[in-house]
Amino acid sequence: MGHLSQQVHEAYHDAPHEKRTGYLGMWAFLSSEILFFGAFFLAYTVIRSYHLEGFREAASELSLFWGTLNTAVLLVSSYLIAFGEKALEARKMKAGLWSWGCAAFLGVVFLAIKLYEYWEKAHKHHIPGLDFKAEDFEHPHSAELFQFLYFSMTGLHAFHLFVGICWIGGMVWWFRSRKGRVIQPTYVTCAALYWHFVDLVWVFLYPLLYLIRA
Amino acid sequence: MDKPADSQRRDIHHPPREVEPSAEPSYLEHDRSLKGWLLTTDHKRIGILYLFTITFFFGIAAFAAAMMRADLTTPQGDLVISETYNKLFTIHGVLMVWFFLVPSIPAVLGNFLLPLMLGAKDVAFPRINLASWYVFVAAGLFTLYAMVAGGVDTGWTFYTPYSSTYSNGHVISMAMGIFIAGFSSIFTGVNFIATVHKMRAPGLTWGRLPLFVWSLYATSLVMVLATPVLAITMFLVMAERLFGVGIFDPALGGDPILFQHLFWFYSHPAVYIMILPGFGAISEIIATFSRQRVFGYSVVAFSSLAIAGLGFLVWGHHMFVSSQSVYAGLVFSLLSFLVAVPSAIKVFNWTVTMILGRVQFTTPLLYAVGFLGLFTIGGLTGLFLATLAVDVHVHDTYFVVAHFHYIMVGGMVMGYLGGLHLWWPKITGRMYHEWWGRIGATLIFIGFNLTFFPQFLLGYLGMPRRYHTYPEEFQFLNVMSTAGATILGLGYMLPLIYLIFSLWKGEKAPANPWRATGLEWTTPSPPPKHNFEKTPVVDREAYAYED
Ligand code: HEM
Ligand SMILES: [Cu+2]
Repeated sequence: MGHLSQQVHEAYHDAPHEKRTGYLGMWAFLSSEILFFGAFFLAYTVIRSYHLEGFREAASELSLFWGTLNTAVLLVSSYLIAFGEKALEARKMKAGLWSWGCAAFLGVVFLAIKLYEYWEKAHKHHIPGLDFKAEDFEHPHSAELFQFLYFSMTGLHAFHLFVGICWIGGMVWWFRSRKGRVIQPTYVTCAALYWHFVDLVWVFLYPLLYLIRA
Repeated sequence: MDKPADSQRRDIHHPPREVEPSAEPSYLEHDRSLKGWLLTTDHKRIGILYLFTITFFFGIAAFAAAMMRADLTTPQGDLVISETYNKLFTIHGVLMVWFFLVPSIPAVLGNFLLPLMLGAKDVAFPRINLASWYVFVAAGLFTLYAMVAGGVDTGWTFYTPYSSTYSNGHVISMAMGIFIAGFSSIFTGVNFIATVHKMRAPGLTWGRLPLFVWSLYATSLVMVLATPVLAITMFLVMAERLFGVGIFDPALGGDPILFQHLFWFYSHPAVYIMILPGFGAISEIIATFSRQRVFGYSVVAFSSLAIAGLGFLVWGHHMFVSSQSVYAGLVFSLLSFLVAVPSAIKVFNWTVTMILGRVQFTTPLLYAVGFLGLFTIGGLTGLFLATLAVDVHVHDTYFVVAHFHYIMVGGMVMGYLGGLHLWWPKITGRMYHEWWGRIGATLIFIGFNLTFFPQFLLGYLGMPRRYHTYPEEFQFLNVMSTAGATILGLGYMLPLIYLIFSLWKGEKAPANPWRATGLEWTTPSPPPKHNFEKTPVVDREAYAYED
């Protein structure tokens, strides 16, 4: 297994310098990501204000059970990431890698549940634009808009989570393959920051899509 | 600042730093293979890659403009049919805005110069920098595909529901191109922010940064915070076309004004992405050729940040006639006036700098003076447009076209060309031909005014934009405009020719041909791969001209 250490890339003066630069870059990137989702939140709010009834109706079609379970899954994974990061920093490699591995696994569980929910919708012919069964709703137009926003917002989130799984999983694999060689601590923290960000987005999506209902 | 006393010690003469010829080969000679260029993480080479790419896009966009101007010489528009005309102005706008103006100074000059000006070996994240170029090229391919596959006729603003439902063109591919190009902007912005914060040489405090760096920093903030909104907007347009859901189409329960809010929330700040770096280049040129510290240095620096911040609050002035509420209109009008304040501060401070200094009318300075004139006209007419009542009269007329061309072409392109000339010796190690340079700058200035001034009159008289026919009485002004465009086109050819010529025949450039003060001039021309033999230490403010 590799370990975290102070090796510095040539562009930087020393390890703390490299570390701070990496964090700053990551935070700048994340602030851009916030606005990325922010545009969706705005679109959601505006469209919802025109289609209150239909949005309530369509939201109550979502499964509160799976949504809540998924929220729990992500929150636990966030904990594991935070724990793993501290463990890696303390050079407790084994504990760190295990908890990161489990966090990535929980990410996969989340995606599986999400896919199941998508499949359920496809099964009921509730996919907007493709085969939308208008008869199921009193306000079919509004419901279709809700479904569309649901799919694109959760889809974008799922895509981010997929990237996160590859990132965290890749780090674990990389640590193990770099037997005894060093790894920049920045990489660890940036990966963790990203994971927390993705979870945070879900914490907003969950009430917006699942909880506000009739 | 570290040593406040230092900047006041006027009596001590700082001799220009001696530049040792570098033992290392220059960044151009370092590894000449194709792989050495395409996989480079050297910020200087990436700047050059961008230079080629955006020159290419500029060429196509300029060709489309030439076709349009030629078409408009006759009232019936005999050259192309109206559909082709619509496709021409769309590709012209899209390429010019996203593939030329947005990346021009930041990605070409910024990439090349930012680390040099900071005394750094490279940008903070060299590999992300390279990635941004590849992303940019991929985005360009999508856009060009849309063009050759049949074109798009929505205009660069993609207003819905036309773009999302009715237009027959290849909107999806073009929107995809813009969506992807956004990521290249975001990467560059993130990289520059981290670079400015963390990669400064010892002693280079915020108060000593060159103004070009300040302006790139402000630009990067806007890039990072505005671009993602555009990306989602484009995504929604694509999805609406693909799946027929009605986020923006009122017939399906959507809201077209929502599109305009989202679009202009990006695109007004984006006009500052396009002009702020120009401000930076102009500050450098004026300081260099007036041999004078920029008057009110810190005010000029902070006005860039103020413009970047206020730029986020005025998008609604593009929607005065879109049935937004009168109160919203009032607020947006008022806020738009506020942006004029920091812009005017800059213009006054540059003017004072030149008055205080000893001005040499070199090619870059001619561009800078041109910039001052054109930007002032563009900015003042912006105030007309920001006045609610006046805007109702001139909205969507040639007045608007003239306004934004004065700002973006008169302002930004002048800033870009001026900067390119200022730093050409550093970039290539060769001097261009000064006499031809001055002819070029003059020709561009004359051609530009002849092209766009008549358009203010046309717009005021009521000629709408984006029409390919017009009543007889507008012909005179239109012919004038086309004649001007011919001169302008010729003017743009000149630098292309003599700059390329200078690569073979130009005099070898010394490290500091203009006797300027920035750190970039303390390293050989062209710079070695790692910029500096040893990290420079800064002990004085920017623009410490003493002679
Ligand atoms: C500083 C750089 C500036 C740039 C690069 C810029 C660029 C532009 C562009 C591209 C447009 C046309 C948008 C379209 O296609 O409809 C435009 C329109 C407009 N600009 Fe500017 N502008 C600048 C400064 C200003 C200032 C300082 C003001 C006001 C104080 C202003 C007010 C307006 C208004 C109100 C419109 C909309 C006119 C209409 O569509 O009726 N601009 N500007
Ligand atoms: Cu604007």
